[in-house]
Amino acid sequence: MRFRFRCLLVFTVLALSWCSTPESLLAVESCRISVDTILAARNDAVVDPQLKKYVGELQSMFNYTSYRLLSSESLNLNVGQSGMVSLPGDRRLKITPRKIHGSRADIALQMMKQKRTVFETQVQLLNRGSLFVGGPTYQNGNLIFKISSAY
Amino acid sequence: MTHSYSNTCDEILIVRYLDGDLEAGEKERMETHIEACRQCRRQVVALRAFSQDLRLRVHHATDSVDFVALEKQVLNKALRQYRSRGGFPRFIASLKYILPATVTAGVLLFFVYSNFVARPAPVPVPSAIINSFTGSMSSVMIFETPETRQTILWYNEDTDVKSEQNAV
Amino acid sequence: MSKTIQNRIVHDEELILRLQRGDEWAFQLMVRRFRKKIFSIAFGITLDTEESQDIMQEVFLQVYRTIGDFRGDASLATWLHRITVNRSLNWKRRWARRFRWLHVSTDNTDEHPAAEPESELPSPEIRMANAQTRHQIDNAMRMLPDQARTVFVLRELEGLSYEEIADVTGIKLGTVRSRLFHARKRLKEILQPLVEEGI
Repeated sequence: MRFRFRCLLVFTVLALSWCSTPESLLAVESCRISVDTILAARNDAVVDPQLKKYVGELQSMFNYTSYRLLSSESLNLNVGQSGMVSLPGDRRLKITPRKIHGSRADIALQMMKQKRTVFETQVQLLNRGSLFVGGPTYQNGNLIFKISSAY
Repeated sequence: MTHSYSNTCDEILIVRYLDGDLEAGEKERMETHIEACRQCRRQVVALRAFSQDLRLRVHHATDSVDFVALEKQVLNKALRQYRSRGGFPRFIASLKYILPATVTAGVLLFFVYSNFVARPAPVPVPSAIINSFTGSMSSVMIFETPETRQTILWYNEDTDVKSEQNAV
Repeated sequence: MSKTIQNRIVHDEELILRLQRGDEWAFQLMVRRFRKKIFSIAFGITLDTEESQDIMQEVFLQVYRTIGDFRGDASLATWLHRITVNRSLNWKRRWARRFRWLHVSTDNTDEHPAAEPESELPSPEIRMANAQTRHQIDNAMRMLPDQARTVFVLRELEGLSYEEIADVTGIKLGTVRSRLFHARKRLKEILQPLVEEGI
């Protein structure tokens, strides 16, 4: 009984120390990047249920009434590896995780329209956080790309 | 001329001289050199003049600010913060005494919570930090939502400003 | 906040203690004591009056919120400088300012050199009244990389020592030296037309 208790204690301590190891010490080499394409417009008041979590916050910054999820895509990318996501309007987004440290991942983004690079940016994205990239006009509204990372 | 830099131009020494970072002897030798070297003298004069201009520039900008009104605004905002949080700084101060008693439970909770449940940061931090941005477009705005600090990058790839106007 | 500020000297240590107790009067005193310094640093880095005023307010409100966490391992001034520098370096993240700012800088660099040759230089005060001179100084500063500009501002505007700059910016002493060196070297290049004219 006593032996079992000791084993349990040792196991608990080991488990706790594993749990408490800072993430920065554990080399994270890959991350999952999701890109949700949202069409924000003002012709009706439809909000996709998946977006309800964010819409309240977005409403404080924009004057759109509807937010529709057009597509969702996820990529598992290693550090240094690039992935491409196709977006509406002959647009493509190239995503390259550069480094993962602590709670943020350094990610390079390159937005292309047809064959032209529209912009390139380097961001530090919070683990499980999102960057909203928006602006291009599409159909009767504007596109917003929600780029999230998780590792 | 006992030291090489008394008759040669040394950029590092000039910078240190401008910063007042040279020893007495070094300073003296540098002054001798500057007196003799037109090029270095011009550099020193130009950089000193620029620093002086910069100070005046900032002074000029400072003069245009209504600090009394700003102070009032800050105090009002702080007071609102204080009321809405029920005396936040006092609460923080009181935590000092409560903390030791609850630390063990807190640490355990932290392990479990931070490893097995999604972790929202206790104090919201920007969801993304934009380190660099280059592009060919008519405008770009980078901002964040007030509550959870979701970073938004809003760009207008066309020449018209129609889409930009959608952002409030 | 009805209490008026008394004319007696309150040292930073006492100010911190009072702030931690939630003393509104101490907060008012701190704002009054540091407002110009904070504005100057923010302006030196951002070169934007409106933005610097916002930064100044944010710095004070952040101090008000987090004074309970202040451990006293740095002086109140260093802490305030640190927050100001961080906020000022992050200012570009808001709205369109970064874009506009960079474009102003690049466009003007090509068209007008930062310091145009002048045969005679009037006194700094007179020159400062001239919008073009202000514009030239702003342009020259904008041409410095963010980190070099920050170190240069702390040194030239605030007169901080290398050690104090290292403390505020969280960089090594050697890095402070090298950033200052590069800032001045770059400025020297920018000011070259002026130097060549012979002042």
